[in-house]
Amino acid sequence: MGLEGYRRSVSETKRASILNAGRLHFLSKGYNGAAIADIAREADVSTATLYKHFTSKEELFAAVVNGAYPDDEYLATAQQTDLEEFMVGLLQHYLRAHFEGQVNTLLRIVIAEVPSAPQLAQDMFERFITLRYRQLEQLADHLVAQGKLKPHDTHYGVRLIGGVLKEYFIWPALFDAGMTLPEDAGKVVRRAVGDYLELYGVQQRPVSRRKKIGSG
Amino acid sequence: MGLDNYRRSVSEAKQASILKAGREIFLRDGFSRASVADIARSADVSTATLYKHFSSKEDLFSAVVRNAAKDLGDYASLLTTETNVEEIFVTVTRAYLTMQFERKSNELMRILIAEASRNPKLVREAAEYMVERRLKSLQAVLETLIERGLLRPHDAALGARLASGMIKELFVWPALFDPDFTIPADADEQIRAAMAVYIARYGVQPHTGRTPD
Repeated sequence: MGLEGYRRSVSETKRASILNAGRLHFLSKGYNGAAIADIAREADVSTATLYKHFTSKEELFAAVVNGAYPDDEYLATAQQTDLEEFMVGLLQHYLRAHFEGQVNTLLRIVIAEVPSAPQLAQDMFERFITLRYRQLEQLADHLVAQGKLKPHDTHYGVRLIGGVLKEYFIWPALFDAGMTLPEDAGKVVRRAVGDYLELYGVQQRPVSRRKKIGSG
Repeated sequence: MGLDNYRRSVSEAKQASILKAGREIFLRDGFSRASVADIARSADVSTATLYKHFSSKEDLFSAVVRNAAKDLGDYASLLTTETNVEEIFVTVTRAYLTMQFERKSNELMRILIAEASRNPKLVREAAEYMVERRLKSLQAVLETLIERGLLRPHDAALGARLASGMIKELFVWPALFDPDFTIPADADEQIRAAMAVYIARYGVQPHTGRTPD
């Protein structure tokens, strides 16, 4: 590998180790409690190097959250599979990130520090929570356009399913640091998806199947 | 009034002022940083008197939480002869939001969340009061509405989570992250739109032109 390639790979390794150290320190000490100097020491880089990769503590924290947050690649598989299976898979993908990926812990840290770091909390809300809802609304609109969901106000539709899963899993986890994902989570997810599709799905159950007249 | 009565009324006044001071200082400093000595000073009582009323800082905090929920956590009392389900939902949701915003439950919840790993027992008990009890109360309301024939028979435990989940997404979740978030001017409109989804799913009036199975 050439000099450029070598430099890039060293730089990427450093970045990864800063991220890793940042994650450890934020998770154990909170946002305000974690010190940039400690994170740099743990990552075995100078603070100057750290700031070359992440311009501020907030940037580093955002990158840590970004790494823990479920990626959106899953959304692209919407077309490939049965809608019910896709939704169940997507929601379980989210739940795994929240529990195994410790997104719940990061959320607790952000919420705890709202009084001392209000801007951080609002930025995190915009960058992660609002963004995810926007993506889901777009996806639902797309599915409506394709005739896979009935026309409906997707703003409330996605909040129906997001809200019910938060009630079952995320709210309790915010108040209980030791909570793990319950074993019957899959069953709850399936029921919630069933409820959603009962409202907005286009496939009707055989008993009630009938010709649609001028719908939409 | 006799001496006993007099003593009782002084004691109650002191307890009320400790609660009020505790609430203010917990909201300002959070749980861990709040100092019992500060609270006593602000309530104008000795710390010995404070501990006579509340055996510990945890005990005082729990009382503050219960006080915030007082007469607002029980939705069954809001049921009247009203038969319009949408109106009933708006009334219940308004009571929920009053507790959440006017009584600063968003702030109390933030304090609990901050304390979750340090003080699990305190947080579990308070969350039971602020979250679980209200969900059960909503579930009871839904069961009554089903009995009265105003909603189709359905699993009210799931229903309570669907309804309150949507309301929290709209008003509480954003407020947890933003201390300046207030109930929006079009809240009633949003509540009605969210509840329309619930009524579409479980209301007695067919909405889709499709008869339920």
